[in-house]
Amino acid sequence: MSTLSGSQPLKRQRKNTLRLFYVFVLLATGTITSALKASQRVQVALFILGFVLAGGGIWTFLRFLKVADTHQRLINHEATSIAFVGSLFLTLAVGILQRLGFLSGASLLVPALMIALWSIGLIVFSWRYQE
Amino acid sequence: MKTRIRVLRAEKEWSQADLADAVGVTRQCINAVETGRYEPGLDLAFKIARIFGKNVEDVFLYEENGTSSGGQ
Repeated sequence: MSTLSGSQPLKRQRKNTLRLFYVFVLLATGTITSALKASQRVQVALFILGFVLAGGGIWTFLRFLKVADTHQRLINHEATSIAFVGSLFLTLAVGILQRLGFLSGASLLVPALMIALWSIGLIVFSWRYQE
Repeated sequence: MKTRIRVLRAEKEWSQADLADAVGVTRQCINAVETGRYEPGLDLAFKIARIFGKNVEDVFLYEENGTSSGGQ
C-alpha cells in the first residue's frame, strides 16, 4: 500500500469555521433577544454587540465558502436556494400576519428562520450525496 | 461520465478518506464522484489523476451518446 500526504489543516479549518459560524449566530441571537427585554440604556449596547456578533457570523460564513471544496459549495448553493425561497414565503406570511395584528415585533424571526432553513438545507443535501 | 477512481483506489489500498485528504476535499465529495452523483471540476479531476500518476482521461471516462472515450 502506498502512502498519501493529507491536508488535515484544511479539513480542520472547514469544520472550525462552520462551528464558529453557529457560535456567532447563537451568541448574536441570544444578545439581540436579551436586548429586547433590557432597559433602554443597556438595550443600545446589547443591540450593538448583537450586530457585531451577527457581522462575525457573516464573516465566518464567507470564510467557510472560501475554504469549502467545489462539492461543498454545490451543497451550499442548494441549501441557500432552499433558504431563499423559504424565507420569501415566510417573510410574506409574517408580513400578512403582522398586518392582521399578529406577531408584532417578529422581524427578528425572519433571519432566524433563514439560518434554520439553510441549516436544514445543508443537512438534507449533504445526506443526499451520501452513499 | 464514468470514473475509475474506485478501481484505482483499490489497487493502491487507499480509502476514500485517504484520497480526500490528499486532494483537499471531503470524503463525501470523493464518494459523490465515485457514485456519479457529482461531476468534479477540472481542477479536482487533474488533482485526482495526478495523485494516481495517470492522465485525466485514464481516470474519467466521458460518455457521448452511449460511447465512452478515454481510459484503457
